[in-house]
This record gives sequence, C-alpha cells and structure tokens, in this order.
Amino acid sequence: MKARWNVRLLLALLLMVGYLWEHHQLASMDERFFIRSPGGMRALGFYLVGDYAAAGRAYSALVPSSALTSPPRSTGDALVVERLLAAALREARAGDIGRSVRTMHRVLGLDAKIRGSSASLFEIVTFTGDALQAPPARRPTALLATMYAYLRRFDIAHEVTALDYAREAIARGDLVPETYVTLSILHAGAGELAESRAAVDRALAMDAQHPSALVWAAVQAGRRRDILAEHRFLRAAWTATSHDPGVGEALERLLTELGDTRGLDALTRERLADRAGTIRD
Amino acid sequence: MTEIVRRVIANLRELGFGARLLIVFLMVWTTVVMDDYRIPSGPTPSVLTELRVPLMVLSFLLVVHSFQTMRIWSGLLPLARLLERFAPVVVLAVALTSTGIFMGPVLAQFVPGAWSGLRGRLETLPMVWGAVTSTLVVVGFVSASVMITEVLLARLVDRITLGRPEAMRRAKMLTLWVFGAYFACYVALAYNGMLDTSPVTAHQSEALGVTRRSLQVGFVSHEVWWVSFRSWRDPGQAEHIVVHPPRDGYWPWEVWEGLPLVVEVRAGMLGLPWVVSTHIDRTALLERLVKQLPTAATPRKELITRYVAGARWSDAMRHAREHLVLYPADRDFVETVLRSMPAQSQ
Repeated sequence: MKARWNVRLLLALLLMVGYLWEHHQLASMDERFFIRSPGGMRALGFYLVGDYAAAGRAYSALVPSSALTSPPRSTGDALVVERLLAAALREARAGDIGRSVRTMHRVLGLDAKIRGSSASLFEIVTFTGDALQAPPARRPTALLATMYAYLRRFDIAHEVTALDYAREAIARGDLVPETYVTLSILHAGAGELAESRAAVDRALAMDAQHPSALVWAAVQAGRRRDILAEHRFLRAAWTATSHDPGVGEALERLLTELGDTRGLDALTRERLADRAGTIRD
Repeated sequence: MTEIVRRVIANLRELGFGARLLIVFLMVWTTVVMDDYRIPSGPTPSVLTELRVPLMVLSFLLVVHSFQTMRIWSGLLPLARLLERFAPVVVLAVALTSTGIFMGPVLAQFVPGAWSGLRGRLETLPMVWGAVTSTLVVVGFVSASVMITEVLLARLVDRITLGRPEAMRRAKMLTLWVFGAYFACYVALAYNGMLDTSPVTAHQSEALGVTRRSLQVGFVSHEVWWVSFRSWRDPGQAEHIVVHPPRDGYWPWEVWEGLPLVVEVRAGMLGLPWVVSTHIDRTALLERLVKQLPTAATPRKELITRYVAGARWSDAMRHAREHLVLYPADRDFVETVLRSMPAQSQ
C-alpha cells in the first residue's frame, strides 16, 4: 500500500517538475509568440511542435505589416536590423548562402536587445521551417545555424539546435570560417567566453582577413573593453570589408572616444575618397 | 548551565531542528568567508568549493525534514494522507486550471454572441487571473516539489535503515562529521583572514582568462566565475580565485588574456596568503594604449593626470611634451599640468 502511495507521490512530483519545466520554457519565450486569439493559439501550437513553416505562416497572417513592404515604427538600430534581415532573406532566396550568412552575422553582432519587428521574426521562422523541409543532406546548415542563432534571442530553446547545426556545418565543410563565427556568437550568448574566443580565433587562423570574423572579433573586444584589440580588428575589418559604412561608423566612434583627431582625419579622407569614387562610377 | 549545554549537545547529536537551522546559517556564512577571504587555488577548484552546492542542498533538505515532522502538523495528518492519495489528480487539476485561464480568450471565441457576459469574462480571464495564478502555481509547485522530494528521500532512508536503528544513528553522525569538518576548515580560513593585521602587498600581474562554473537544475541555476592570473609567488604558474565584482571593480566578461591587474594580497594569520582584491592596473593599460596608439589624446591625457597624481614628474613631462607636439592647440591642458608640478621638475 505504502509503495503504491510512493508511486502516486512520484507521479505528482514528475507532473509538477514537468509543468515547471514547461512553464520555464514558455516564460523565457518572447511575448510575440503569444497572440491571444484562436489563430494565435493555432500558430503557437505549430511552433511548439516544431512545424516552423506552418507556424511562421500562421503568425504572419496575424501580423498586419511585412518587414519587406512596410518597415515598422522603430528606432534607428531596430530599422538597421529590419533592413539586414530583409537582405539576408533576399540573398538566401537568391541562393547566395555565403552572403546571407555574413549579413546574418551583422545582425547577430548587434546588441541582443535590439530586435526586429514581429513581421520579420515570423518571416525568419517561416524561412527556417521551409529550409528544414529539404532532405537533411541538402539543408543549408551554416545558414540554419545563423537563423536559429537569431531565433534564440526570442526563444532560448533554439540555442542547442543552433549549436548542432553549426557543428554539423563545420563537420561538412560548409562555410567553415563563417560557421566558426556563428559558433563564437552562440558561445558568447551562452556566457562561454573562452569557447567564444577560441572559435573566432579559429576563423581568423583560417582566414586572417575574413570580414565577418574581424567585425565580430572587434565587437567582442569592444564588449570586454579591450580598446587596443578593438582598434586593431576594426582597422583590419575596414580594409577587409572594402570600407563597409557600418565598420567605418564603428571606427569613427572609437577614434572619437580616444580623442584621436589625426586618426579621424585620415578616416574622413578615406571615406571622402570612397564617395568620390562612387560618384565617378 | 550544564543542563543547557547538555541539551544543546544532545540536539546536535540527534540533528534536531535547532542544529539543522544552525547548519543552514553556517553554510551561508561559509559562502561569505569564501567570497571575502579568497585563497588562490590551483587550476581545479578546491574540494571545499566543490562541496558547497551539495552540502547547501543537503542542509536545506534537513531543515525541510525537521519542519515537516514538527508536532504542530500532527493535526493535519489525515488531510496530508488524503492529499497524498489523490496527489496526481490534484496536481493535474491545478495545472489544467492554470492553463485553462491562459486559454480563456480562445474559448471565448466559441461562446455565442448572446452570452456576451460570459464571453467578456473569458476574454479578460488571463488579464485578471493569469499573472496571479501563474505565480501562485509556480510557488506552490516549487514548495510541494521540495516537500515531496524530502518525503520520498526520508522514506527511502527509513526503508534502508528499517530494523537497524544503529545505521540511522551512524548516518546522522556521518552527516554531523561531514558538516563539522567543512565548517572547521572555514573557521580556520576565517581566522586566517578576519584577524589578519598584516599589511596589504600589491603585486603586478596579468589576467590569463575567466572560467564559468554553473549548475542548472530545471529553472534553478547557480554560477560562479573564476579568474586566473599570473602567480606573484611562482613565476610561470597561475592562480585562480572567484571573481568578486564589487570588490575587484570589473565584471567577469570584461577580463581578457593580458589584462594588467594589481593583485592585493595579505599574508594571513596562518600563513595562507589571501587576495583582498584584483583591480585593473589602469596606468599599465593606458601606457600600453599610448604606446600602440600614440595619436590617441584622451588616454594620454588620463595617463599624464595619473603620473602627476603619483608624483611621477619626469614621465608626466615626457608625455606632456609629446602631446604638445601632436596637438599644439591643446596648450591649456599642458599648462595646467605644468602648474600642478613642482618648479624643479619642470
């Protein structure tokens, strides 16, 4: 009799632990996933069972505007995220996976608090779901790793999947330096700093002039306030990215902070020369 | 007096409620000792550090057991038996009700328009009750989980020691000895640090990195960051201590390999050197920065100010001159610096 009661207690304990675990998982998800309507619940159901293509479409039907057609009312940084996400999706759909991954790195390199709109989030969910429908051997694993890394910002449960896809991409030799950058971003998000630095170092060891790796290394150096490394990586990234305006802005911000007016003058001259070249072309 | 002492000892030996509360209190105290009087360890954390979490959990369960078996609850025994009999049903009902409240707006869509009152109530259900029930259910389930775990463990121990009261007594003695030995080590560490009147010695060092040790059980997590830096006593070796952000002045994620540190150490009453703080060596950091980026005016000006504050006149003069060569328009700053220096050093 006692043993049976223990089983009941054990069952109750399992139910409670299961409820608490599920509650914890749901509580850590972004509020955007919880639209309190039958359609919203249907979309949430698809999402929770892992049918991301259906979930993304169901959510998108409930969100009025699309990131591609009408940008949301948002701050400058959020608008940058919107544009970059739209570009990454466009590049991926055009089959330029490498470029799409690098664009996603620029999104992931921004502060995790800067988020795009619900519309763009659900477009990423839909895209991820569609990509998963391909046979495993034909899936763009390096790109999926970045997509899951973005979704991780809204739902921590995607962290493990993102890491799995990143490792699979490396094992397959699919955009290896880029994927090491993704891996580094994921480790940094999980607070594994040593692993994160080791991953970006591997990317740079493979290609010392890799634009994404240099930009991400500069972001990391900036976060840990290693000004010298940040300056070195930004300078290298400025050349490697062929004078990317985003990198130029970051470099300008750093030089202003350092009071390096001579460095700033040199940078301005380079930017003016770029602009003159663009006008001539 | 002797009667009181005897009763205290008996309570301790029997691991009574008072003894268990004392254990929890001392466990908290050991955490304070560990954070405040940091004794550097080797590359792997010491046994004492490793034991902290399991002993903390054990001490907590011991108190819960004492609390649950107090005489004041004997009146509630029939209710407890009833609850135990239907425990899975009760848990399921609570979980479903909580989920049902969240699903209120969905259910409202299926209510006919004529019943607008019910529809409105269902739609506002999560807003009114969602947060309250969610919090109550989580708190209730966490408490109940701890209690049930403790009951199941107690029954397991009872089963193992059934008909062998000697085994139970030995288990209690072993628990006491483990906690006693653990606390004795911390009393020694506290004595080493708390009563230490030796002067603080500052050593130049460099960070080698940080490591995070974390433990996550469901939604409960515990994490500790360790910083490693070049040893001041064994060249080529590393020292490891727990990061104490308010005292050290930096967060673990701001540490990078090569970060210059000033490690302040005291000798310790028992000859066990302990680290008071490991703050960033800002002067060394600025010197590196100015050397690598000579045109950066802000760090050079801060460096000059620091040299002046530290009465390093010749260094201040040298950098002031270099600054003036690079930025002749910034004469005011250099003149201010010169005015703050003694005449003979200019």
